[in-house]
Amino acid sequence: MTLRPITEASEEAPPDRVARAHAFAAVHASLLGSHAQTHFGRLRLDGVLGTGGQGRVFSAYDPRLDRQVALKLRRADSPGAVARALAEGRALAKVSHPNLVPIYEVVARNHNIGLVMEIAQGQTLRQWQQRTHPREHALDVLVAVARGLVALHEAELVHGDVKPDNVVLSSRGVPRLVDLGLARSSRDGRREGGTPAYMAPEQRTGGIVGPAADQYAWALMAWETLTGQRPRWPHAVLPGARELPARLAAILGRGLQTDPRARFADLKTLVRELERWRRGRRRWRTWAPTWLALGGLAAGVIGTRPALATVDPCGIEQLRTPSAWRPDAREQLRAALASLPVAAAPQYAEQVVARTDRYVQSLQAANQQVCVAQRQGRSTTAVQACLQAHLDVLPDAVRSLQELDAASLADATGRIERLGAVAECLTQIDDPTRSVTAESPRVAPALAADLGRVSLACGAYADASCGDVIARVRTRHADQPECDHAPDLAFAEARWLQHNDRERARERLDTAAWTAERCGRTDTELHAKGLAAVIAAQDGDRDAAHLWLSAADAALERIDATAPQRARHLETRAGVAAAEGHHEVALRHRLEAIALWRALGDAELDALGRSLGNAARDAIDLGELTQADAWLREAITLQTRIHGHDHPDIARQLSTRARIASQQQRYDDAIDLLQQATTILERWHEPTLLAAMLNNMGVVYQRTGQRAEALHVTARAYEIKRRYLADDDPRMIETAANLGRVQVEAGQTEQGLALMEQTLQRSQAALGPEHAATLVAKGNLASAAFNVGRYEQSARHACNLYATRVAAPGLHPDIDDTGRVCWRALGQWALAEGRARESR
Amino acid sequence: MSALATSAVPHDDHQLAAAWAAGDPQAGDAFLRRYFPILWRFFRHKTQRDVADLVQRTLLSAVRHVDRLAQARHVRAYVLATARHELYAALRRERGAAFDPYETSIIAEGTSPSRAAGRTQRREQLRLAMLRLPIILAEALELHYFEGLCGRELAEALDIPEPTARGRLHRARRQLAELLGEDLDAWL
Repeated sequence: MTLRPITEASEEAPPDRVARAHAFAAVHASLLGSHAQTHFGRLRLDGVLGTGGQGRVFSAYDPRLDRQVALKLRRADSPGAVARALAEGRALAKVSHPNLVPIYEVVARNHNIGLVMEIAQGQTLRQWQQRTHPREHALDVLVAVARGLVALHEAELVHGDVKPDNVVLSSRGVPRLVDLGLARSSRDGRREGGTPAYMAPEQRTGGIVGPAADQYAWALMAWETLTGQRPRWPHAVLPGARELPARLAAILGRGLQTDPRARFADLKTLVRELERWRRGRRRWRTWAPTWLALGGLAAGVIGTRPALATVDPCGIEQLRTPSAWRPDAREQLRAALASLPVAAAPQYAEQVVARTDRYVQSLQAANQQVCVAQRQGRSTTAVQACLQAHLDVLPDAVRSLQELDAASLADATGRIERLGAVAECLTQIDDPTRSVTAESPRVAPALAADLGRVSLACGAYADASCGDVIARVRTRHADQPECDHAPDLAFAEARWLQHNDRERARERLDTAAWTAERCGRTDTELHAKGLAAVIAAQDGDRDAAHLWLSAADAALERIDATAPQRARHLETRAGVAAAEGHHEVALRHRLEAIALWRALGDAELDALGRSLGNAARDAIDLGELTQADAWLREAITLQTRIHGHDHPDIARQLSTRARIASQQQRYDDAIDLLQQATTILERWHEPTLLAAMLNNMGVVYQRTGQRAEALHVTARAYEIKRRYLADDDPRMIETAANLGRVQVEAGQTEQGLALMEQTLQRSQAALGPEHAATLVAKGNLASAAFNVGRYEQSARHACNLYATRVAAPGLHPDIDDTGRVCWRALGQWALAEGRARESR
Repeated sequence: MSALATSAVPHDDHQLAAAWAAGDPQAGDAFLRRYFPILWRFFRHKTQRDVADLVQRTLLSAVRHVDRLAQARHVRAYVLATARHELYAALRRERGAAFDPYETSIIAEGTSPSRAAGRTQRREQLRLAMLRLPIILAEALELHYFEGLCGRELAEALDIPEPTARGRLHRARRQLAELLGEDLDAWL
C-alpha cells in the first residue's frame, strides 16, 4: 500500500470550533487585555514594533489589501500641525525609490497622524557592519542609501534620523532607508527628535536643519561603516582616517564639516564626487600592468576583526589558515621585532603584526567573495589566480619582515604595503552584466543596442542575472528625465519580479501604469494595466483585477487604440478570465485576438504565436487536448520562423505539449518534448523555467517507474534552485522535501529521509512550525517513512501534524489524509510490536 | 527605528517567552496563539470540566511565572508539566479517592474501541484506545507522538528521569498493542 503525500489537510465539528474560538478570545482578553482588538481606521493593530521619541511603530493588518504593514503613529497638537503633517506624509508617499521603504498612505484620526508603510525585513546596516565586507561592496551599499536620500531631498523633504539602524538590507542585499516618520519638509527648518550620536552640529544646537544635516549624518554613517570607528563631535581629527584612501577620506571629511556651508552643496554632489573617484580607480585597475601594484593599499577590508573568521569550504583551501601566518609564526615575528634595540620596538612590532593581520584578513575576505561568486555561477578563475599569487609571496614577505634589523625597522609597514591591494583581485570576478552578455544570448544583442531593452527582455523570464541588470539600468538613468525611463523600467522590473515577489511586482506595476499615463507612453500604460489585472486575478484579488481592467478599457477608449493594442487587451481579458477559472470565456477572447493578429499578417507573427500558445493552455483546461496540440504545433512553427529552433518561448510551447502527452499517457513523448525544452533553456540561461521543467520531467519519470531518472532530474532541479534561492526560502524547502521523497522512492532511503528531516528542521526554525511549507514537509516525511516501513518515524510526524490540524481549524481545511497516516503508522507499529512480543 | 527591521516574532519558544517577559505584547500574543491549541487538545476529552478554564489556568500560571518560563530548559515541556498538574487536580476533584494515575484510565475499562466509536469515526479509535491505558502511560504516548516531545522534554514534562520516561513509553506501546489485540486489523 502506497500512501499519497499529504497535501493541505482539518475537520472539527463547527460548534466545537466556535467554542474554541470563544475560549481563545476569552483567554486572550484576560491575559493580554483588549490589545488584540485595537484599530486605527481600518487597520488592526497587532503589536508594537518599536517606540521612539516621535511616537510608536505598530505592526498592523490592512484587511482591504490583505497585508501586514507597519504603522507609525505620531501626535499633532493643533489643526495646523495636523494639516502640515498630512501634507508632508502625502509628499513622502509620492517619493518612490528602490532605496526608500515604500510609504503606502498617510491617515489622520483625532490628532494622530499615521504613516502606513511596508514592514522592512532584513538585517540593519548596524548588523551588517559586524561582518567584514570588501570596501567596494560597502561603498555600493552606502551610495545606494545616499541615492534614496537624494530622492527625498529632491522632493523637498529631510529624513532627520539617518543612522545604521535605519538602513535595512533585504535578503537580496538591497539597502533601504526606513523610519521616514521623522521626515519633514526641508522648508520647515525646525526639527524634533533624531539620534544624538548622528546629529549634525546645527541639529544639536537648535539651528536651521536642512538636507545638509542628512548629508552630515550619512557621511558619519559611511565613515563608521568603512573604518569601524565613529567620529564623536566635536571632532578635531577623524579617527581611522589612515585606513581610507586619501581622496575618499577627504570627500567624507567634507560631508562632516561642522559648518553646513562648508559641506557639499548637496548630497547629490557628494555622491557624484565619490562616483567620479571610484570610476577613476576602476579605470586605473583595468590598465594597471600587474595586480602587484607597488605602493598600493594593503587592506581593502573594513575594520580589524579577528583573523581566520569562518570561511565557506570553497575558494582557495590554503587561505583558510595560511601556513606562513600561523599563530606561532605571528608570535615569532612579534617577539623578533620587539627585541630589536630600538626604543619604540614593541610598538613597531604591534603595528607590523596588526598590518599583516589585516592583509591576511583581506585575503580571506576576498576568498569568501569567491565563494559567493561561485555559488552565483560566475567565473572566478582570474580572481583565484590573483589570490593564489598573493598567497605564494606571503612566506617570503613574512621572512623578510623577520629579517628586519634596527636600521630597517621603520620600513616594515612599507614592505607590507608593497604586497599590493587584495581588492584589485576582486575586480576580476566576472561582472554580472558581462556574465549576462556571455551566457544569455537573449539579452546580449539588446545589451549592445540599448540597456533599456535589456530590462524588458529580462522581464519575460526569471533570468538570475536580471536583478543586477535592472539595477544597473536604473543607476545609469538616474539623472535623466523621469519620462525617458521610469515607466518602462518599472514595467520591466515588475515583469521580472512577478516570478519571485508578487507584492513588489504589483507595486511596480502601479508606478509603471501611472507614470506611463502621465508621460503619454500609451503602450507601456496598457501593458502595465493589463499585467496588473492578470496578476491580481492570479492572486485571487478579484476587485483589483476588475478595477485594472476598467482602467485599461478607459485608456483604450481615450487613445483610439490600434489593432495590436486591441488584440493585447483581449489577451489581458482572457488572462483574467483564465485566472478566475472561466476558461471558455478566456478561449473566446483568445480566438478574437488570434483573428486580429492573423489579419495583421507577417508583422505580428510573434504575438500570434504567443496567443496560440495561450489558447492551447485554456483548451487543455477544457479537455480539448487535440485542438490544443494543433495550436501549439502552429505556434512552434511560427516562432521557429522568427527565432530559429532555439528560443525560450518555443521551450515553453514544447513543455505544454509535454503536458498534453503526459495527460494522454504518452510518457515517452512527454519526456522527449521536455528534453528538447530543457536543452533550449540551458542554452538560454533560464534557471527558473529550467528547474520547473526538470521537476515536471521528474514527475513523468516517476509515473513510468523510472525512479533513477526521476532522481537524476529532480536532483538537478534542486541544484539549480540552490544557486539562486536561500536555503530557508519556502520554495527551496519545498524542492528539498520533494527531492528527499524522490530519493526514498528511488531506494536511497536513509539519504532521502535524512534530507527530509533536515529540511523539516530548517523549515521549523526559519519559517515557524505553523508555516504551510513546514506542514507540507512534515506530511511528506510521514508518508515517505510509512511507505518504507518506518512506522515509528512516520507516526511521530503524522500524529503531530494531525494533532496540530485538529486543534487549528481554519488553517487547514481537511484533515483526513493526515489522520489516516497517523493511525495507520501507529497501528502498523503496534502490530509489529505485538508480533515481536508473540515471537519472543 | 531599528525595531522596524526586526518585526518578525521569534520562532524560538525561549526567545518568545523572554520577549513576553520583557513586556512585548506581540510576543505574548504569539505565545498564546502557539500554546492555546496545544493545551486545548491536551485537555479535550479528558475531563468534564470546562476546557477553556483549564487552558486559562495553565496560561495564567505561565504569565505569573513568565521569568521562570523564559529560563526553563524546554518551554513546551514546562508548559505541559503545568497543564498536567492542572489536569490531575481536576481529575482528583472529579473522582475523589478513586483517582490514581497509575491505575485509572480516562475512559472506563471494558469500553471496546470499535464499539465506542462509529465506523465514520474510525480514526478516533486509536485515540480512544490510548485513553483506556492508565493515565501515566497514555500521557507519555500522547506527548511523544502527538506533541512531538523528545525524550528529554518528555522527562521534564512528566517530572521523572529520562530513562524512566523512555521505559514508560515502552510499556505504553506494549500495553497498547495488547489492548488493541484483534481489533487492530479492523481499522488498518
